[in-house]
Amino acid sequence: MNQEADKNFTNPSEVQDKELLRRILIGDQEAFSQLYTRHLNTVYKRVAYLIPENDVEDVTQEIFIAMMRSLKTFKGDSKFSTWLRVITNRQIANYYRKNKQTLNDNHLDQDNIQFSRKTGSTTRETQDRRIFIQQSLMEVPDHYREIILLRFVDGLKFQEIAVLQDKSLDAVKSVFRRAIEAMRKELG
Amino acid sequence: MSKGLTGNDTFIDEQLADFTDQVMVDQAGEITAPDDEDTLRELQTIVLDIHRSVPQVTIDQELSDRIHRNLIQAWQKEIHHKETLITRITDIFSLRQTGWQSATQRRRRAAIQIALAVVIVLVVLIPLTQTQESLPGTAFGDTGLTAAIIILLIIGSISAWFWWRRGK
Repeated sequence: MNQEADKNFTNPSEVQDKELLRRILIGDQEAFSQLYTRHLNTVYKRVAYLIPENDVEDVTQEIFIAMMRSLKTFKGDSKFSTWLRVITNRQIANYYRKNKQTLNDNHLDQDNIQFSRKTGSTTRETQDRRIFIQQSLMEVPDHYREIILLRFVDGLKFQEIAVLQDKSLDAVKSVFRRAIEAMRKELG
Repeated sequence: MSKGLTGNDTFIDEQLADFTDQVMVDQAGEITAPDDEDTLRELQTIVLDIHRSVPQVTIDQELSDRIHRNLIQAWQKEIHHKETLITRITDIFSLRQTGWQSATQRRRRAAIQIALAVVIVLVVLIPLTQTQESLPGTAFGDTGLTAAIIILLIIGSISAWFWWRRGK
């Protein structure tokens, strides 16, 4: 596999993002709407996985507002999607920090109900396991959590993650294995 | 990396990555590692658990439109409404919400409004207490009442300041 070629490959969607950003910075509202539409699903999936359902909409909005307010600081050193993921992760972390007590009190029961709704699952054991996995995911180091989210929630292939993170495919697979091992330790 | 990769680690890396690809593509739900590969079997179990924990969500159009509307509102506010100390103060006193606010921001804004309302009521009450005649022989005459109001005034001001700072 020619990894160098992959690294040098310029993704058409990246070019579109850059063009939209250029237009947004001169006040083009339509470009902002297009950028939102392009990235909404990715942001939403991650938020819906990590945040209790009642707050998913609020947190998603907060992420896009934070993005809007920080656009002027985006230098283009990384891909826009990577930069947006950093904002997403930061907002999710802020949410957990601000709602720590409430989450400790309510998260389990509330989430059980939501999980039943989303998956149709009725077994308490499965629901508890899912919540346990989410909580464990918040405990592992950031780079382990990120690779798990990229693969399972964002649905990126290992090769795509390698290009995104500017690493070799072997290195990505190695980090992934260690991330799963870290999860195994957390899950006991 | 703190320790070098062994041949077995590399083997597990590959096997686990392949298994994950298979799970993600085919939605396979069975462990494929042989019985004597304990480590790989355990890791495959974790992969399956994580995969099953991810809900298949898609954003519905109504929600997407609602978020979009709020964002455009925030965008226009951002473009046309340069935030200064004065605008922050007028925004707080304005009963009409300007721009989109999260539930936390709405709660914080309500807290500031209540604290400021308490402060204003107390400021009005202080001169009124001065004009009333005190009850002789009671501990809670003018002086006591004024002191209580001043204490409440301070508490109200500190609360408003606290929520204001949290909003920044």
